Amino acid sequence: MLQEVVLKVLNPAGEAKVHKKASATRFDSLDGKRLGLVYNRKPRGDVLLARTAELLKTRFKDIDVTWFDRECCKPPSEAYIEAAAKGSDVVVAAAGD
Amino acid sequence: MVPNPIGHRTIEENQASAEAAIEDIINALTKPLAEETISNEAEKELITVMGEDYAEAVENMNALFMEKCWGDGLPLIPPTDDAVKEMLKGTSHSPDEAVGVVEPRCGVATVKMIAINAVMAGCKPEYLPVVLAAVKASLDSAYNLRAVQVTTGTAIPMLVISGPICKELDINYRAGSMGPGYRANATIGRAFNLICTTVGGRWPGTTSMSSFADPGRFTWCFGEDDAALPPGWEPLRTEKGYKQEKSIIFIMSVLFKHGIYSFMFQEPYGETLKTVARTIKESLAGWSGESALILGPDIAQNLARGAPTKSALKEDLFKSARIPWGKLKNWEAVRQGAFPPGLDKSLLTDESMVSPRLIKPEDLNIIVTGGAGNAAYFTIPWVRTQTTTELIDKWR
Repeated sequence: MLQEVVLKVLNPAGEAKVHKKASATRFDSLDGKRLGLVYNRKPRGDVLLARTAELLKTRFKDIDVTWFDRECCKPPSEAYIEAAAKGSDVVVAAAGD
Repeated sequence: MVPNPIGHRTIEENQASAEAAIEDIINALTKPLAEETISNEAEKELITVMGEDYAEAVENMNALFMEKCWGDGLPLIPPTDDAVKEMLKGTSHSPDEAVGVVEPRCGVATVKMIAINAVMAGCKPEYLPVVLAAVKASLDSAYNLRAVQVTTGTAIPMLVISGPICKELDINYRAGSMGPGYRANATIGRAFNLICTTVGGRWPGTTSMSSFADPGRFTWCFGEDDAALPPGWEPLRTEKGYKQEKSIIFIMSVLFKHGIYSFMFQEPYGETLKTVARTIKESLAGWSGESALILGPDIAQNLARGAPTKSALKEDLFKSARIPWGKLKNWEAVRQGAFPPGLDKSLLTDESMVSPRLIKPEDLNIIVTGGAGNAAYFTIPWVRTQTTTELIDKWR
């Protein structure tokens, strides 16, 4: 079918700022590692994380667990991120709702 | 690893979810990530669509835009180069000026991007400063845009315009102010929401997890009625520190909107106060203290008989809309530790009177709009968002 009309329109979404970050270190084993649990205080996130920590402790030796509770529903503060990063070798997060 | 929502599952179900996911969790913590190729190839700035005639070309454009999640489901006006240039005459700001970054997509909202979406929405060029101001206000960190864009809760952008620009642009603030019938109300709110979608990437079920969303996410924009304010009651803009002769936009991300319909004309002030206070007392306790009380002119006049200023009404409601701490402390949000923010609970006894909504009287924003009748709304904001304002005049 002959296309008679050519309509040119502007892209309404435009450029997006893409932030590329380095991946966290992966370890061959979690033996002796510090496990950070990041929890946004929404219901049942604590249950999920607690059971995850229990299971990891059965699979690896000497895992040291620290909970990093934070306020839900808004970006974490720089201080919080720094504390969790410095206080952990690996982190598991639960964003419950 | 474990899909949401988890809050509605039992403890046992969540424990089982952790058990089912544990191998994936261990792999994620111990195996290196595969090299990801992130395509930075930008979409073209100019998009070509064709059709047998203009109508078909527009239909094809709409179909393409919906495929790309660039719309709200209603037909869009084609943002041609000429239409956008015409729209940009509505502001003295440079098209390349970046108003800010709209999350979660992190799209850069330039003046031109906003103008493109304003064309799509059906705005006139003279509406553009209002749309620019609305976007700017939403990018204030206090509004917490990323969170309200993606939440499972209801977060409806409510845009209120206060100032002479309401008359200038024929923004409805009288009968039916929140409904259809006025191009400015319909398209300014629509443009704002289109920007949330196209530039910001708010899309149902993928980035926006709102269970219901709300029709207000098409448009919810209305004016404050200066003339209907009782004597002594300030307009919103002067309450927020702007000059009387200026125009502002006030934006709240609304979680719930409660109708208050038990008013009788000419009833004593105390009775009307009790009616409003009852709604506040029964509202959901949440993290933020701010709310809005939207009054039709007749209710405002009635309340003004006992409250000569908005501040007086706020004080009276703050005192009336409280319940004993002994009762409030058992509410779910309070038991979770989310409320009340900043209040030293060690100072409270079971007999202490606490408002489930207002931390201080100033947390109540009072807005007069609409036509004759018994209407009033009490709106509460999404859980961690504050209302924000922006001067419209600086975007002219």
